[in-house]
Amino acid sequence: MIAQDVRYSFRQLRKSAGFTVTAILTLALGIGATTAIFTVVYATLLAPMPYPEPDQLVMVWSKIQGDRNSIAAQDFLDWKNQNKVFQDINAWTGSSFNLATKDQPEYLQGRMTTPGMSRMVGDRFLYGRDFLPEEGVVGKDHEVILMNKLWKRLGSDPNIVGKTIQLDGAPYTVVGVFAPGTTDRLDNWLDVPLAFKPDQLNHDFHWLLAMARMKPGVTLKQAQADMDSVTANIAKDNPKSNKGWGAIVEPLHNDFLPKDEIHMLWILLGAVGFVLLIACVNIANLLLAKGTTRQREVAVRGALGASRKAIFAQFLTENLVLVIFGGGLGIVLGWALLRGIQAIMPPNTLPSEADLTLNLPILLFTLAASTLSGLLFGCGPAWFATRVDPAEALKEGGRSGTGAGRQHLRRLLVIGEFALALALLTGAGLAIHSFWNLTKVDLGVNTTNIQTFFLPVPDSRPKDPAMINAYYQQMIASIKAVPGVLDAAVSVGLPLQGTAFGMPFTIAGQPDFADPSQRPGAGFDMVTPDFFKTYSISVLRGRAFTNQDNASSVHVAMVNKKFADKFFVGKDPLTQHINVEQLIPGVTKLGPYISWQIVGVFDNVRAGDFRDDFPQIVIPFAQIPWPEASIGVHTSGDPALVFRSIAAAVHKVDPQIALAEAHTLEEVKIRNLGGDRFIMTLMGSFALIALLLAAVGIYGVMAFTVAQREHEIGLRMALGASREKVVILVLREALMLACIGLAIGLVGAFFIGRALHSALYGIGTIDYGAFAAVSFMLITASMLASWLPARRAASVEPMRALRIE
Amino acid sequence: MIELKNVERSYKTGHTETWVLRRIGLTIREGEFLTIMGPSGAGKSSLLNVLAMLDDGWLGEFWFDETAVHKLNRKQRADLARQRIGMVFQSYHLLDDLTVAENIDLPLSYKNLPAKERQGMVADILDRFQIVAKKDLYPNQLSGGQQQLVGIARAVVHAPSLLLADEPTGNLHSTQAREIMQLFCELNRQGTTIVQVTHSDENSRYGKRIVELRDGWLTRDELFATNTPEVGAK
Repeated sequence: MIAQDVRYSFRQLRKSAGFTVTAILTLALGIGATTAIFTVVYATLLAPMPYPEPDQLVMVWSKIQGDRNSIAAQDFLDWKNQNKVFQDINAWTGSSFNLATKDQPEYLQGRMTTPGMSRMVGDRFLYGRDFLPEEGVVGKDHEVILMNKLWKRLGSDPNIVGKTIQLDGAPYTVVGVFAPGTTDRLDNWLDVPLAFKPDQLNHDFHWLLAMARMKPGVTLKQAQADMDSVTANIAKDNPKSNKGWGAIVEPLHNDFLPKDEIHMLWILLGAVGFVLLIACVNIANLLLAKGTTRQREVAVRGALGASRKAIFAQFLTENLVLVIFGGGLGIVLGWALLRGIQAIMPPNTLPSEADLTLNLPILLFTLAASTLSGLLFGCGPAWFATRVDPAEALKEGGRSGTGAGRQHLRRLLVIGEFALALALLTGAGLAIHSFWNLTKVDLGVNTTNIQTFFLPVPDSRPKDPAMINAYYQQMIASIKAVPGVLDAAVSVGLPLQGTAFGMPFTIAGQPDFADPSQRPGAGFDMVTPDFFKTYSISVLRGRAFTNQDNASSVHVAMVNKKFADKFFVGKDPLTQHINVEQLIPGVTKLGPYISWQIVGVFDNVRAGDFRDDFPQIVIPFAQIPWPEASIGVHTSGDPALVFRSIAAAVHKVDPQIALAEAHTLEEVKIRNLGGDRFIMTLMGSFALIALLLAAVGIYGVMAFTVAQREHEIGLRMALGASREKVVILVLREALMLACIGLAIGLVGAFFIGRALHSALYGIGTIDYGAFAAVSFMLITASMLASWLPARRAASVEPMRALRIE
Repeated sequence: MIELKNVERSYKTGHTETWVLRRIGLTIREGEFLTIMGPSGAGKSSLLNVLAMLDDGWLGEFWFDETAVHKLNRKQRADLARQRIGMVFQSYHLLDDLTVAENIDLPLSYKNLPAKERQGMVADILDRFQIVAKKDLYPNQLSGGQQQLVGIARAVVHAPSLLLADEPTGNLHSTQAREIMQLFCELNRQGTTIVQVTHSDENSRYGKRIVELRDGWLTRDELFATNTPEVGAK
């Protein structure tokens, strides 16, 4: 019986090719979008990390004022020695390298890791091994492990282990190559051993990250308690540096994924769930309409002995056949959408462990979603099919009535579609409005015709401040000599990308903090005098730096408006001094306090996702020259036209240096908004699909209603109704359905707005503008979709319609 | 075989109740060929629907052999009809998407018979009705007469003891109609009880008995001696 039902189902679907294609495409769209987003959610939030015993892996952070912080080297070593809960604990830090190539040096980001890190995590090797403990010692640390992607770039040499590559002008022996996968999704290209120099072994300079593997059976709570005790001991022994400092133990899984992003992933899954629901509603509507035309068939089957169960099974089988095709196509579409999502997803949005592939759990999810969809859209129409009264349906010349229940259900489904579509459109509208607001934010800098890049000066170079200063002065002079260059400036951090350092400070004349960990903090950067001119940053009060602010002059600083407003309420900032511990070039240790005389206040410059201002201090580069710094160049035209000349000017000063992370400031701006653009694009796409499906839904209902009412319309026209009146009659019904849907949808839209609120910028709890705009769109779509059926109704020939009766 | 006692059927339209069958008392013996006649709206089809057990909304007593149909629930009635009754319709009501053989198989498929047994039964009936060559054709590839032939084959494939026909020749021209009626006579001779609804006096003469309905009331019940009339071409 089942085989026969399946065979007849195929025949039915083939016969109604238009319906079948529409239903399969609609379902595939819903399933595909859901599969793609679920793959992201699964890979990021649900799948176990691809390491042995992943639950044992934890991040261990320093804790200051309740927030997590990076770790000082001596703290790390003390943790390693004193803890009782970890099998192993390793530290790493980011670093940059100049890889020697045939042409120019190539900049590569890498990691310095304590030996054993990869072994502890469980990273797989294609060739070779992890660093040995003895390689974590200064002088014996010139080994390198290549990420698989770098090994491929270097020619995929299977015998590369034991060979050397030149990094920062020194030979490094390749000891291993990672297997493809997780490590390739990091920004880094290679690992070198982290060997602590004596001056790095202090409790003050926080620059490391640490990961640990808990001993079997140890819980997170026990690990935290143990680390609380360890850090308390360290603080007792080193009160000056460690009072107020603790440790935070957190699961590694998604520790680097902001909570807002996790929240947004679930929202996106909800949004595609809405799309799938709308798709199901649409197919249910189509099936209900199709069921009406099959009443005679159902009646004949009933008269020939088919039970309701048999008829229900026959209809459900047809729907499940649709599900198989729709689900199958949905997987293909899901795969394509996933590739599309990956293409527009900003880099590093997801953790490196997130492997976006369509694996077995995803396929099982798709199967479940498809089956559930089939039952959702199939059961109602199948149930209605069994409600046919054979005696009535088989009457000769009898009109095949649609049944009031069936019609009501179809209208209810369209109302539901509109309500869901409005909620989705509102989500998209809010995301677009928020993005629009962000593009209009005053960033505090000019982003036009500004080229930026970073000079990864090797760590092995001399750290003499005077030499560093001279190096960058030559660099700036050489760049400024390039035709088309208007200005150039050195800074350690870059506008829009954030300051290089975050430093605690005290204000002269205010009481000292008994507990140094309670000092306020601010962004801290070193800039050359032309910094403000190059980036067109307004100096609001006082003066900018000059060439006279040098190593031998008085220490001067500028603060931004946010700093002045926050810390100098009711005071003149230009009369104030701030004390900041000294940053010493090439030394991972803070020096004594330096008192900085504030000489100017500059406009706030945004960074990160541009949402907030943050307090910022800048000092003259010449007063603390820093080895690795960035350069900004303001050009008279498109920076791309002069970039080669700028690079040549740089290499004229230093042939060994790479121009790393070369971007125009406009590119940085676009990149910084990538996350918001990504969310806006996805929400917008889902909303458009929802709108399209809702429009198709209302078109289907209205077209069917018109066909059913042909006699009535003919009669109305025979009695004097004009064609315009008939058009209005149809449009009025569509408008009524859309308006009821809108009214219900507004409630959903309110909740969508609340769910999205934390991710939006410059949007109130209720965005009346967005609500009005999406309502207008939905009403317009309903009117457009109903226009054709309305025209068809108006073209009914009264005589013909009445003859049919 | 069938006994109806005080069977009544009405439809409610708003506050108005329209009676289509009034106190029908009718006995149909096994092997009878009964014709139900009457003007439009007299209740012929309603009576046929009661007999076919397609309608549940009637009142009164309905005995099918020893079974009290009026005491059966919907499912039990459907089971009884599935076993004992075959239906032939004026518009044939073949399913367009099924071949001749599949249409004939349809009632068997609802009886949970093994596929092999069903195939045998369908092959037998195709052979008996001499439509083997048409078994793989679809209804729209057949003439009206051929379609009705298939409709009858489908109705009798499971060897029902009662065959109900609603205007079986209403859509056929006279030659085809005669052939179909002669087929009914043949089935009747082989033992099938037949009840037909018709407007045609000529067709009514193929039966052994005529009952007439007017406004829902049974107004005439007449018995004939033979069911092989002299029929000339119209």
